[in-house]
Amino acid sequence: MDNILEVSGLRKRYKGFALKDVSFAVPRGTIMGLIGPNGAGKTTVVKLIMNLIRRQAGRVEVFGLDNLRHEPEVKSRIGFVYDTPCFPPDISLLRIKSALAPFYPAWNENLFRRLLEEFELPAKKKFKALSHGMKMKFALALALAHEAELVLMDEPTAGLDPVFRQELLGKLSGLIQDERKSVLFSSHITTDLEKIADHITFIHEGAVVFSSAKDEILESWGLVKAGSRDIEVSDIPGLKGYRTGAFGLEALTSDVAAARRRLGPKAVYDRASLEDIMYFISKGNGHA
Amino acid sequence: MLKLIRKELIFNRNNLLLILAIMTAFLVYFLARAETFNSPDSPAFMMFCAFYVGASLCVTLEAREDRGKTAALTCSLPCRRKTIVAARFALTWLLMTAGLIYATALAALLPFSRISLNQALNLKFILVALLILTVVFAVFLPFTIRFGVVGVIFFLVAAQLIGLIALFLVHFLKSGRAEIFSPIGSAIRGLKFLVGPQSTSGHLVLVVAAILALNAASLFIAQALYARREF
Repeated sequence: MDNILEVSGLRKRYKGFALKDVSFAVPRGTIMGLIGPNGAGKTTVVKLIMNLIRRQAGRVEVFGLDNLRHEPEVKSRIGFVYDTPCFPPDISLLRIKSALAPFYPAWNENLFRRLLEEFELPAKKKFKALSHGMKMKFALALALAHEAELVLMDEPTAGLDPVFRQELLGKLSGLIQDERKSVLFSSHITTDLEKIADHITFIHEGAVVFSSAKDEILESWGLVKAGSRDIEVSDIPGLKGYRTGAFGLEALTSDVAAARRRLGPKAVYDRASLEDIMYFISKGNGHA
Repeated sequence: MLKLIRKELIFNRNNLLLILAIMTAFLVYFLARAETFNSPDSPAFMMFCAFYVGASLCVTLEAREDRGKTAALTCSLPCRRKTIVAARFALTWLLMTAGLIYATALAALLPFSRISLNQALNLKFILVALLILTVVFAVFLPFTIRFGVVGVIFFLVAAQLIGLIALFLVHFLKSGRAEIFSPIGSAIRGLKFLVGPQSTSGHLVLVVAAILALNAASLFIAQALYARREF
């Protein structure tokens, strides 16, 4: 399977934050979820891919091309949806479209019209008159109408109502059915990604914790629950984080099968959701 | 680059139409009343204003983009940042040229115009006006492009402070007055010489060369600065 996006050794330093050698790849025809708590570095990665900020080290290859050396070509094949769409507020959707469409050689006017209807977007209304959800829909319509091969979305579901979130997720799942297009979707709402993502990259404090197929992660990672005195935390193989409290011990392991073999019936084993993984890794060890 | 210019014109259509209306009102009034100002420099002033409106529009557009946070949108479009900056400069010159054509057309077509077409299309006036604006905007545009509205504010505050310091020095250091004002005086005398009858076509070629060099340097600096801008 070839990769539509390859990020390697990406570094960026700000005051109080550093992106540390971030590497991952998005295979063609898949949805990659970029997850992590707020401030983990997801938006920084997305901005580096779009060259909205300057990288200090590393490489980004999109469609096999360097994103800086081949910037116009790369960007003409990416559909980018910002967390807060930044279109001029006081002009109509149609005028925004007429200004932006000529930049994209593969612009599909019929598809754009169809998406406007499907998303029930008022074409003649000014951008500022739209709700947040409608603004996101419009940004998505623009991103899809130029037949982008890679759709890059930074926190697109934040602040959206559940109805449109479901609609959006369905749209993205449908998008990759031709196995030619891919989606990179950054979010801290892990339930969205659990529904549609094929691969997950988890970023924490500027570093990649893991990047692999979602099913593999959900199969191998798990929660180990036991009474506080029944097992030693240090006995849990692949321990990633734990908490203790009146309920006993709850720990996250990256190898639930090994934990089951070693600890046997002294503990119970649960499937870990992406939210559990994010929670335990973000919080570290030993919190109540 | 044409797509970027087109995008700016579409995004700022209302703003441009408003400025055009204000400019038209000013020019009509000016053309009708020019002789009452009793100054031989009236046509030059009119041309300067026409150019100024065109040049300053670009700063206005940049400030609007910064306020609306749409600069990130521009930088996410499939073009290089160098091209984005070059398009800004091209748009500035396009608007200045449009200002010149519009003012000249009004001078020629309005029946009550007190400025003739010949007076308006005085090459010396045009070149000197362009030179003055180039000097100002060669400094101003890179600032605006790199730092947005904050850059404009810094620039204006810095200009005010320099002015205040100059006035302070003139007031308290009377002996230094001549030194402080001598470069300004020389510049004014030089400009007057250029629009006067003594200047030759050689001088005008030098003015054109200065305009081109200043614009090229400004464009180069603006491109280097914009490449470092982060959104």
